[in-house]
Amino acid sequence: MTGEVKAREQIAAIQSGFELDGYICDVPIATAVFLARQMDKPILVEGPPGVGKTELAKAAATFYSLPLIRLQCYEGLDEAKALYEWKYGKQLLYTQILKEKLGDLLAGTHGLDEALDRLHGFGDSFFSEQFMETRPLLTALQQSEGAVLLIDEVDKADQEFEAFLLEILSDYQISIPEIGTIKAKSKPVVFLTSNNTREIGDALRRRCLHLHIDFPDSRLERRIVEARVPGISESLRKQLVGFVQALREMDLKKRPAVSETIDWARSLVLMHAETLDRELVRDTLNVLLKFKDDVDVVERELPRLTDKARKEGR
Amino acid sequence: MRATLSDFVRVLRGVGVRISTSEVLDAYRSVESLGISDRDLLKSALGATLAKTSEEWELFGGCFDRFFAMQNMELDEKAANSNDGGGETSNDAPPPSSMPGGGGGGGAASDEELNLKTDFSSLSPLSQMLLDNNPEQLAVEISAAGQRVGVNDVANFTQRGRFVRSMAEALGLEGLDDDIARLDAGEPPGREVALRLEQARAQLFQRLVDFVEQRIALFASAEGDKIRRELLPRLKLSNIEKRQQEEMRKLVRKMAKRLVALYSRRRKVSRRGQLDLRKTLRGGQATGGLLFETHWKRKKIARPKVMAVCDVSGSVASVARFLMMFLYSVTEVLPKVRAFAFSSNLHEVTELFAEHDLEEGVATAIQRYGNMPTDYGRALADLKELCFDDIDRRTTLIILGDGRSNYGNPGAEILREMKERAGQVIWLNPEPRTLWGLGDSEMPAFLPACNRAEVCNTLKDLERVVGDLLRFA
Repeated sequence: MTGEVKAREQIAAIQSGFELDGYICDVPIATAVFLARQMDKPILVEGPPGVGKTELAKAAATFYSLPLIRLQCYEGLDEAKALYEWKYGKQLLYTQILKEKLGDLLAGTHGLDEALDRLHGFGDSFFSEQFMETRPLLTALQQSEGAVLLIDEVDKADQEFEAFLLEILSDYQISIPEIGTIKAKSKPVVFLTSNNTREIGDALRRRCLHLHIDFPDSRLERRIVEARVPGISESLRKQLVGFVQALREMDLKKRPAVSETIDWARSLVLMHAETLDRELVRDTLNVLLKFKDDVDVVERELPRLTDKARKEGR
Repeated sequence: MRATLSDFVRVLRGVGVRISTSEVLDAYRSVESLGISDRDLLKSALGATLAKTSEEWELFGGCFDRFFAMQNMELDEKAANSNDGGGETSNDAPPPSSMPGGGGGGGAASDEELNLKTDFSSLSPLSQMLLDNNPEQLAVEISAAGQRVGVNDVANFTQRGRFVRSMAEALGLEGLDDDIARLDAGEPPGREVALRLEQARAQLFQRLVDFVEQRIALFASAEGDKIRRELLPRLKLSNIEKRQQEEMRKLVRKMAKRLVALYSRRRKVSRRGQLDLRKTLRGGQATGGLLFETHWKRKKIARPKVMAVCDVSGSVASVARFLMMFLYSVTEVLPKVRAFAFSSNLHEVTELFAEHDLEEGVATAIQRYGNMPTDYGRALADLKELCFDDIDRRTTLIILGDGRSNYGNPGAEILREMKERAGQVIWLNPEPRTLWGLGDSEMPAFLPACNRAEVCNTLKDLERVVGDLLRFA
């Protein structure tokens, strides 16, 4: 039972720790982070864009005071970009420089076979770690203190890349043909984020804890705005959150996310606004909405929406 | 708790959340470290380990609330312990906090109570427990009995009586009945106890019924869904009732989604490749052997160009809707599909489908073109006129229909002409093969003009055929 209490304390500590860093989260998020740390499992974070998936990894890095190593995925991402690459230039340069040395080394050998034999005796000096350029995944494994590894938008990468992640995510090790298997010095905390533009394979899902972050409810969002935009008056905060929440109910191409709420709040503060009024909202709507069609739709509803938000904010 | 967790996993699997053994182990570990006393925490922990997609998360939330609303985990734990510990529970029962009040014996004198109490030792454990009136203890026992008789395996409502009975027996009903009979035949104070026991017995049965019904609601619905999901694809399309259509639509959609995944994956592969040395060298000849441009080997995957023709005439009226639904899904999935519908005259419905959603598009098409007598000759002639020039060797022509042309000209020669131009012609017939050629069925005439002719009257068939189409196209 004491273990239980301890676990619950740790989760509360994660929550308050994140909060210090300006990342307000609810219990499921904190629990997932706790479990990931406890069970050495990566977290697959899904949710609409702009709800703070990437921010979560950053907050975790600050909280555990570990370096954040980020791998941004894109179509065509391959091992050379994600894992390691040989420093071809350096290899070439060294062979040039060492050419004379080679002549000395091979002096006295007769025939090609003998020369080759002697060369073999020196091992694969050109394929050693000195000539290896580490990329994010390998860098994360090599951190002796551990790290927070963020594999961002894993759905943008190809199917093949996913398969290639499996080894790293389940055993925290990488097999490099020329060198062998490299094991993590200390297991990193791994976050994978996905916007679900492509179905993530079951094999990958199975290796991860799953966390779905949705748009926050108004209470949580108010707290987020409070943490992120200090100096905003309480009534304005209530009003703007109410307005954004109402927008999310509407049928829009892209619903405003938390990041947009924060941007909007910042711009309102810059404009020294005290309450929402139609003019103000119309002028700043482009901060919230990113499509012309959406702006048109909302503008038509503007009087109703602002009045409602103002009433709520009171 | 292990049993509870595995029950919960079974419920989740029943509603369609895929959970592997390693995930169950994860869940178990997480529960072990977090404990079970905080429900929110438990929910987030189980959610993180068991649900793997956002849709599954939704399902999980509903199941969790339903399951743990009726399930008292700690109670189950105690039940499990008491099961392990053997029959000592009834002896360890805490002293009664109050005598049963429901039986009208609330005002009974205390010395009489003492009298009765001495008698208790001769009663069966169940009777003692009922007289003790300790609801918590009883709940523990019921839970334990439920686990003993495997109540979570309940599959449908008709099994309710059986499970109630066997749970009562597991609790020691026999002893209780004996006690009642014995006391009833005896002296008045004993008879009063018998009366009380009888009331308690009725209440016990009510509790058992409630308990089993809750389990049925949870587990049987999961089972039922599973059965339905396994059965539906194999059901004859014409046998599907209206109320199942919603379910059916979901299946068609799901199939379509899978096909999209398959299709897009294959397209990606084509963009990968090794250096095509021959082509690169050949390109270099123009620049005197200097290799300016690299060429890559490509796995070329021809996108299937599909023309789908669907019979919506009276003879196939019962399946026309589904054939059309399928047609609609295909137009959604594949980029280059032209869809046609006919009974006597043939009309293109591609645009209609593009403009309307599935329900409306299909309904409009059937209403506009359907339920008239079939004329294959006419329809094929129309098809030829509309799109003969578009047919090339990459085109796949799919015909959905029964091939019954009301003894009119089947127009098989037109189809043969088209086959010569097209990549392949596939005929999907909802009728079983034995009926082909009987009556006004012109299938024998059409068969030589088809690369494949398949019986296709279940969703499974459709799925298989479309899968093949994508693989070989």
